[in-house]
Amino acid sequence: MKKEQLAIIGIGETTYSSNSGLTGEALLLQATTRAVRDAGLRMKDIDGIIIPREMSDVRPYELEFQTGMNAKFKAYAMMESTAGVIHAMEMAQAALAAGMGKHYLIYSGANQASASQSASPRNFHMHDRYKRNLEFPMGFHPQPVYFAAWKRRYSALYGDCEPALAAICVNQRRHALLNGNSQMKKPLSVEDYYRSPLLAEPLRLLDCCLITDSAAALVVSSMETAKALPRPTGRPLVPVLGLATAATDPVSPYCFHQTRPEMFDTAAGKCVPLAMSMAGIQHDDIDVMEMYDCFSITVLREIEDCGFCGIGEGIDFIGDGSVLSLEGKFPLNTHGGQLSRGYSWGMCHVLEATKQMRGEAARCQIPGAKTAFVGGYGAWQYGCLILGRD
Amino acid sequence: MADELSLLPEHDWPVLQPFWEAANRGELVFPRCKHCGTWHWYPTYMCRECEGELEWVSVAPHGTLYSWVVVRRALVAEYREKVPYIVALLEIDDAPGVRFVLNTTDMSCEKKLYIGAKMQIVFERLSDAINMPRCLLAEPI
Repeated sequence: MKKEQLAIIGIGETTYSSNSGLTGEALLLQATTRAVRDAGLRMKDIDGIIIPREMSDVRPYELEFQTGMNAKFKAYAMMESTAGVIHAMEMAQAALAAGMGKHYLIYSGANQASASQSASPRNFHMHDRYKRNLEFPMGFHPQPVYFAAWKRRYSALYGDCEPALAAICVNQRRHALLNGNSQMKKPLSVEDYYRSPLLAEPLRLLDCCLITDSAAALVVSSMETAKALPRPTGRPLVPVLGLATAATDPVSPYCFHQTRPEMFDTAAGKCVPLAMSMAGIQHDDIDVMEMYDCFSITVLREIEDCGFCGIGEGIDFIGDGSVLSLEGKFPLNTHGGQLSRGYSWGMCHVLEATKQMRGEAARCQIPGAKTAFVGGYGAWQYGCLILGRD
Repeated sequence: MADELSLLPEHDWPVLQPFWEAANRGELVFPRCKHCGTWHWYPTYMCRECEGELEWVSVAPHGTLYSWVVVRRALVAEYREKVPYIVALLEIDDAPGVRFVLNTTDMSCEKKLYIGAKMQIVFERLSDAINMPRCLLAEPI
């Protein structure tokens, strides 16, 4: 790993909104060109495009047609959400080692809120014929219903988790308002959380992430290559200290209730220790953490399965939420996350961790942060990424 | 809004055809490995443990409540006429490892549900081909 250490050298994103007024292609063009410029490169310098499956309705060749890129290495990463982004980075590392080129572009994005049908959350799940036949006719659809079943089961086994979920939501909203580029514009209180309507009981509207028009991209290279590039802005490089992905066994694609032994088990326990040992860090070394947040209950479970506390201990660990605030021991989703900033298939978490390591997170910056942890839930898949400072 | 889809399952999808054929006779069947005896749900083409052949085995229509969700508002257009309903995940007593999704529109059981509650599976005929499993609370409180 040390020989070809991966580095994030460019990031780019669009606004997060409920109606961008742009096509999916236009959003993607903004995010990808910004990421490539941020890296100090031109589109033609990109040697590889690796994108997680189903996280954009713009195909790599369509983007190449628009931009003059002509990447010799193109691949889909067969994972989704933040896990998919981390898996794409693993593939970039393999491609680097195989001599397939220097610079790799990873992107996601669509106008999910205002227009895109093919990339809508509903359609994503209706692709699956098992779900079409064994869940949809029974009313187990769409996503809020699955996670309502998680919330019910979790609370029955370990106690009322709503105080912890409220704390997660309130914290993230505070961060989203500081961020300045967020779909949500109004403050949120614990009382607001409890007034939030029940969408699918016991799940509340505020337990759900947003649906958003947005796109995001990143450029990864080897640390060695990155160091040799001119850096007119003097921007710090962000080395990847560790990364790993895993899936539950047996794999349970789209079947959110078939994971064993519990429906809410994640594969975090199979990859987080690996990524952390690669990075040579312990939990106490983590200065900032970003975690995939399709629903507040997934964040609670991720905190447990990533080893910050044991299963069933998340309610006590989170408490009133101060541990997860910008001033807390483990600041979580410092940009507002997908619950309050905007949904981006989890790309935003990798970008925010990069900004934190560069010291560019503005009012959300954790002073002196040296180690960032990204936890990437992707249904039966999980990815873990540890970033550092050059 | 996307085009509305039929809420009827595809009775002739080969992967599930034996399930719906049995349901038509009022029988509940799940796939089990002939070789190692592992139950599988959702159905696969072969045993994921030992690669053995699967067979559909009839079980008693009894399950234990694993989790449930009360849906009062239709989150998609197809459920407009269906709400309110309770969607339940049952662990099938005779088929360890099978977690089965089904629902009931009997809202009178709502306050009596708890994880571990004993549930009964009954069938409701929706079409010539589909006899849909539904659940009922089996035990009085």
